[in-house]
Amino acid sequence: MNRILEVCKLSVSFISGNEVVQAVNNVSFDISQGDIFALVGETGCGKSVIAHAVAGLLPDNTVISGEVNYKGQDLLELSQQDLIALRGQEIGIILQNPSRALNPLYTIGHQIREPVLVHTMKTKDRASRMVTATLRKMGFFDPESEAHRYPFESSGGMNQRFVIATSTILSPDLLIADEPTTGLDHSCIADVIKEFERIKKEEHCAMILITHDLTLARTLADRIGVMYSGEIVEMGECKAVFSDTLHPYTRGLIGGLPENGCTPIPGISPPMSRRFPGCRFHPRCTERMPICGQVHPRLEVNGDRFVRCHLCHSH
Amino acid sequence: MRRPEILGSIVLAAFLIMAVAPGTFAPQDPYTRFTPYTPPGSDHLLGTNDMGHDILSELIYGSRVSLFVGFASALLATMVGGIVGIVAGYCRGGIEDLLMGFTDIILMLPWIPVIIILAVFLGPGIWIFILIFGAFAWTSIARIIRSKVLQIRESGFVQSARCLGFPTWYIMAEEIGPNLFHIAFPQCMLLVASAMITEASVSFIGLGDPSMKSWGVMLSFAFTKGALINGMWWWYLPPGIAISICVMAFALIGYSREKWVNFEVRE
Repeated sequence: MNRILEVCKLSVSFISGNEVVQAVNNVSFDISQGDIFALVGETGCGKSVIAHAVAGLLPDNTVISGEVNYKGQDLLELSQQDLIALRGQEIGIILQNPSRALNPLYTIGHQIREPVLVHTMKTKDRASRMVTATLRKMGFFDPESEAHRYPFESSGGMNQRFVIATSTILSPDLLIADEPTTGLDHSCIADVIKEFERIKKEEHCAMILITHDLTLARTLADRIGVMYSGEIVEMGECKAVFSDTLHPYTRGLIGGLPENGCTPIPGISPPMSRRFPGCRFHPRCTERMPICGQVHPRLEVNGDRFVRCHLCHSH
Repeated sequence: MRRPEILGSIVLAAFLIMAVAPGTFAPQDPYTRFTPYTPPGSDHLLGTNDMGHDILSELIYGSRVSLFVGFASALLATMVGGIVGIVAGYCRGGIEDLLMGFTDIILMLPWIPVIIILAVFLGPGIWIFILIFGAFAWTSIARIIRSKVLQIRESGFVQSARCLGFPTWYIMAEEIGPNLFHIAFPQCMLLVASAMITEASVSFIGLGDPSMKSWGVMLSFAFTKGALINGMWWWYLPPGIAISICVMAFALIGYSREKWVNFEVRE
């Protein structure tokens, strides 16, 4: 399949005062057309930073190294001007908190139409027709009246679908969804999931799904990467990772799901500014060995997937 | 709307109607000559001045000039302040330091003396007054707008506008700008009041445009032609009262709107 995005040895660190916060450490993954790649992990593990780095949205005081190859061009090398032209047109981004992602002063229709007017030479009439067509495709029975509403008149779930419509109206090749279901209730999440499934089926775009919701990742993703403290600790086919979990952290996450008894992983993740020898996860690991506290494990191929754990490497 | 705002709007509407169609309200043409120094009576409700012009008609025609000067200078100042504030708040960094430093310098200038000096050099005229006022009075608006923009630029819809690849100028003009209206509007109203007072004071000391009869110019003539010494109150009181009422109307609208915004912020 057509490879859309290739992230190679991406590291991101923020400098604040004397401290260097290493938010993302040596992360590599790739996504092909029609693929959904999920990045999961606890809050603060750096998954959103990856999304922002790929989209070129990080502030100026960040140090980024590595490569982000999008269809053969390195996004990190591109000028701000070229990035602006790519964003919204070829790369769609959906941020968390849907109700705030829409400008309170404009109607839904106006906001879905904006990217079309900004990025293409289409007339207002044609753009409006595109909006109506998109909303109809999304299953709204009366797109005209939806388009005339204001964001405060719709629920969070509806607004998130409108945000999705805004990001996908120009049929991007890559869609980055950063916590798309945060703050939504269950029925709304179901709507949003349905929406993503439709996009996957009809638009064939590659998608990075960033979430801490394992159920969402399991439902949607083809491949999954589990992140802990700025590193990928396990990455592979979604089904395989869930059925035959290798890394203790992933097992901990799955054990924390309601259906598995909500067993939390003991301890908290270490602050990103603190580096220590050995595995980043070893202080919380229930299966730690002497070597875990001394040598930082590498991400190695283990059967059908990548794992960063001494336990698996020794097998 | 609150009561002071309603009151202010009604008064302002009355003045605006007068300014838009002075011909229908003024009993006489303001340049027709009658007997000079006539006290108020049935022929001339507010009497006449030294040239024999009907004061009531002059007052009604004068509202047009005074209000126009007030609005135009305040709008210019609001626009300049708004642009400086939005650019400084959105772009941050060196641009912000530069623009806000410049704002502080302008803010320190005592601008009524500056306006007087410039009016002396550039000659009287309402356009020059509008330009000078616009060039000096924008500072407070720029600071208020900047602080609000600092807050808005981090909000979700600005982030998502950046995600959608909108150009920077587009985000500033289309996404942020309209969200500042409720902040800029009360400030603009207060600036109109301030511009009208400044125009009146500048005209009063003889630096107004004598061919454009604003209320300030009327006051100036009344003073120089000895209305105060001779006790001709019908000559100097009406323009003074008109200025006060009009400024009060703007201030009522501005302050009650501002209060409402602050209330909303505290909520």
